[in-house]
Amino acid sequence: SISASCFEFFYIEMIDCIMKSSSDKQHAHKKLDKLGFKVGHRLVERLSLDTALFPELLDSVKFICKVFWAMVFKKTIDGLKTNHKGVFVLTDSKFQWLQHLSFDSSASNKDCSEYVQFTAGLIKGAMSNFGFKCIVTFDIQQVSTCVFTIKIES
Amino acid sequence: MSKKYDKLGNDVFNKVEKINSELFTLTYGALVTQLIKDYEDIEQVNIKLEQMGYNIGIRLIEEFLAKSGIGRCSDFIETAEVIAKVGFKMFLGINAHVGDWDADRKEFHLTIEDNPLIDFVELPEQYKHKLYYSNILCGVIRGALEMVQMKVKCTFVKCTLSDDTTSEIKVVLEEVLSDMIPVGYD
Repeated sequence: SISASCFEFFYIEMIDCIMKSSSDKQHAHKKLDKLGFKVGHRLVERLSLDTALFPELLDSVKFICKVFWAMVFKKTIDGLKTNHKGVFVLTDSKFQWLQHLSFDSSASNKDCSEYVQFTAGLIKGAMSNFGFKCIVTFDIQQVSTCVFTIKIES
Repeated sequence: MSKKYDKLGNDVFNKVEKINSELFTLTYGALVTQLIKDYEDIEQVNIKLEQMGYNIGIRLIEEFLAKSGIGRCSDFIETAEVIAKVGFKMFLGINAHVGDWDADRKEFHLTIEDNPLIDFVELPEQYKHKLYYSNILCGVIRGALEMVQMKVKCTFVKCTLSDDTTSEIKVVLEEVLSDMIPVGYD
């Protein structure tokens, strides 16, 4: 293991690097999403080495909420909702990578979605390793609550 | 001196919050791949990684000083030990060794063991001896030392990814910056 702050220092710098090397915000988000996808895909590969194949979609999502989240964020997802038709809503009410952000209250731009996009990619990559293609969107609420919505594509 | 810092490094590492290094290793790998795609020129990738490290170093030093409780080092030899035994241990959980001092005691080699950045990594033949995959570490050392008034130059001299037997960073002290600029000086 390594120190958590070591990763976070690096994470901030990585976001900065991607934002600066992209032509616009949309492009940057796409890159972060792809990076996350790659990492998520590989992480799950290693995490689930000793796990039997999941028979149900819900089991895969639960794995992400518990085991996967614990490995990345040292906590589990706080809330999981589903419509049982392929949509899952994951709530993390203390999203780690927004914890140490400070912002200028007078600033007009309070968008910090670039610090979350990578995670949407992580989820997508993880799901793809379980054999599910999906779209992941997210919404930042209040200070550090993040809601991720997984929509399975059939 | 080395023993004392060995212990301190261990103690501090035990105290800090930790995460699984695989997340870090894989994310770093994905970023390096992205940079190679973006820049094409490998030398530019090396420079970019070093710059990123520098930006990290200038922020990381604060946490380092706060958590380790280390004060001013008496000389560059002590600084080297602190980096190797406390710095590398505290953040990456690994051991590093100082060696190959030059006669003036201004230049040493830092040998890194079990570098987590290069787990699962293999360099394609065309990048060997060109891409300094872990060059971010050089930047971190440079940035952190600059914040404590030491201007250094760090370069990778050996890397296991390029088939060398060890990973070594050469650190050269170029200048000790003065704390304050004298009045009327510009």
